[in-house]
Amino acid sequence: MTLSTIVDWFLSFITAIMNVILTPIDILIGNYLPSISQALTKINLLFEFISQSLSWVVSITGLSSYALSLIVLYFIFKLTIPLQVYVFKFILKWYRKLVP
Amino acid sequence: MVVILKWKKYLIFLITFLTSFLVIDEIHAQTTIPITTYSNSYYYYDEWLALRENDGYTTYHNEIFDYKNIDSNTGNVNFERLFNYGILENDTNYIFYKSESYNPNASQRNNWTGWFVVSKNNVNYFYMDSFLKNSTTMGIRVIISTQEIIIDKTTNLPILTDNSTSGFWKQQDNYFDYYNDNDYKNAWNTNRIRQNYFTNYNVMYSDNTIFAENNSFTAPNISITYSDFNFNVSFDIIDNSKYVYAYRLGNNSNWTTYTFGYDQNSFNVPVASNDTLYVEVIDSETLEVVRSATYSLSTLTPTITITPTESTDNYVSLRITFGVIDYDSYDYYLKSATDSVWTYLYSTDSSDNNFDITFTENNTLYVRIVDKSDESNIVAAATYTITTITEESTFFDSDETNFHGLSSIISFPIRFIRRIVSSTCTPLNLPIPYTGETIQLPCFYSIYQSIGNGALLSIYQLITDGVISYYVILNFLSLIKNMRDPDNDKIEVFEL
Repeated sequence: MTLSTIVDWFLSFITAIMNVILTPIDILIGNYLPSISQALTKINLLFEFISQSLSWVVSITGLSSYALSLIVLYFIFKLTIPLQVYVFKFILKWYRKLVP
Repeated sequence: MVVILKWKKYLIFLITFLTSFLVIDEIHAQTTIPITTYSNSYYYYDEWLALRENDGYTTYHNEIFDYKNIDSNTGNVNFERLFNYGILENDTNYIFYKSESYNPNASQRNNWTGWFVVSKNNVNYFYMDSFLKNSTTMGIRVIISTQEIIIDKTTNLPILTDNSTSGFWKQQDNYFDYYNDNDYKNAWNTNRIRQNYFTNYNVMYSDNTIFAENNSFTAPNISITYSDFNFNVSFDIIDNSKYVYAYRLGNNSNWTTYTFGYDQNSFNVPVASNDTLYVEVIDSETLEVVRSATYSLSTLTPTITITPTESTDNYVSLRITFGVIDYDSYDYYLKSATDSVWTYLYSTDSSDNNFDITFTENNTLYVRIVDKSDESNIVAAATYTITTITEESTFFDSDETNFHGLSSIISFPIRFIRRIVSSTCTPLNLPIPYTGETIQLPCFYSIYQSIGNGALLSIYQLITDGVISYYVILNFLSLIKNMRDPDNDKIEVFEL
């Protein structure tokens, strides 16, 4: 399992959860507010173009996938530590309450 | 902890740079030609020496130097090996020579006549040791192949060099050029000493006609063959000082001269189109073309061959080889399955029919050659599908397809990060306003990969990986340290 696979799985997981939550709202907007839906689509197209260009810009740096994954993984770890600690403590607290 | 961090810092840098040097060293590794030296510590009495001609000059000092040793006291005849190289063989051209007594003691070294003759490529080479006999009555009997030559030395010969240096003389016109062994091995024409025996000294040999015969004019013959996109041009006589060897391809009006190095008698001219090769041998003194030859190639046809040159889990490098490169008649294109437009292929080097491309994701490559006068006429086409790159997780791929609506905008940062990590670079297609055309910018990975067969990229990535790893580990350890510090309230502290 490579670094990029770990990062990719994590990001995919987050994305999937977000899609599950937001898809009903998307459907509502698409059905009842079509103009806003079109505007959102235009914004998305811009983002998509930026997103596609990003891989090209990254290729200029010549960095390996290992180095890129390491950087991303590090920042994910660093920026989500409070969340991780909170979840861990929450689980621990729950467990202690369950244990007689 | 600080000590550990510093230790890691130096270790990572050390490993990174040592590995870099190893890679660089491997790239610049060169083959060295072994140089064999021989010893002079032999006593010669009355001897016949036999010299065998080898095929090439790489072992020109490794000829057999067997000799018949006649002990002046006992009259016994012994065959001893002077330089310990092999034995006499059948069907081999040997040159025998006779020398007089030799004693390696310094006081008697003037009695040494250490010279002998070898004939190669119809040119006589005179190998000499440092000293020549001062006697004016010595006769040297030389047999070259089947021709017996009696040579009478009628006068003193000059001391050539110091005692320890050995070299040989090469007869050229009316001159004898002295080549030091090492100079000869390193470069054919450098550091030579040219001496005119016939003007500065008395005539060396009584029978000069022998040399005149051997030195009769024979222009080098040219042989041209074609194989695997290369013309091979060879000559039977190599003499950089006497001849200029020149060639040109029909599509190039400029002649290129070729100077042969040590142990060379041929060179290759790469060709990728149905071209004509012109070769000339020019006399360097008279500038007269003494030999010429041409070879017209007509067998190349527009074909496409795609072969993988490197395949890893992350990328696959492909080499596209066109059967013929003719930019006047054909246009060459490629595109991948993910590209919307065809990319025009062109190389300033028309003799290079190879194009390399690297894919970092599974894809299909389409290559085609079209008629320049009729773009709808596809002359040749080829397809190559890559399936060996390790697939990324496909369990959660919905973010790529669902790019509309609110969820897509909110999940854009996540997609943005995924794009960085995925390292799947696709060429950037930019529409040109008011023209309806699209310009395609290729990925820099493929450009970097084409420099030095990816060696530069590998070294660069090796170094950057090391430096980034170092800083990430450093910051990671620093993060752990801060977590253990209860006074630091940046993040929540474990209190289990």
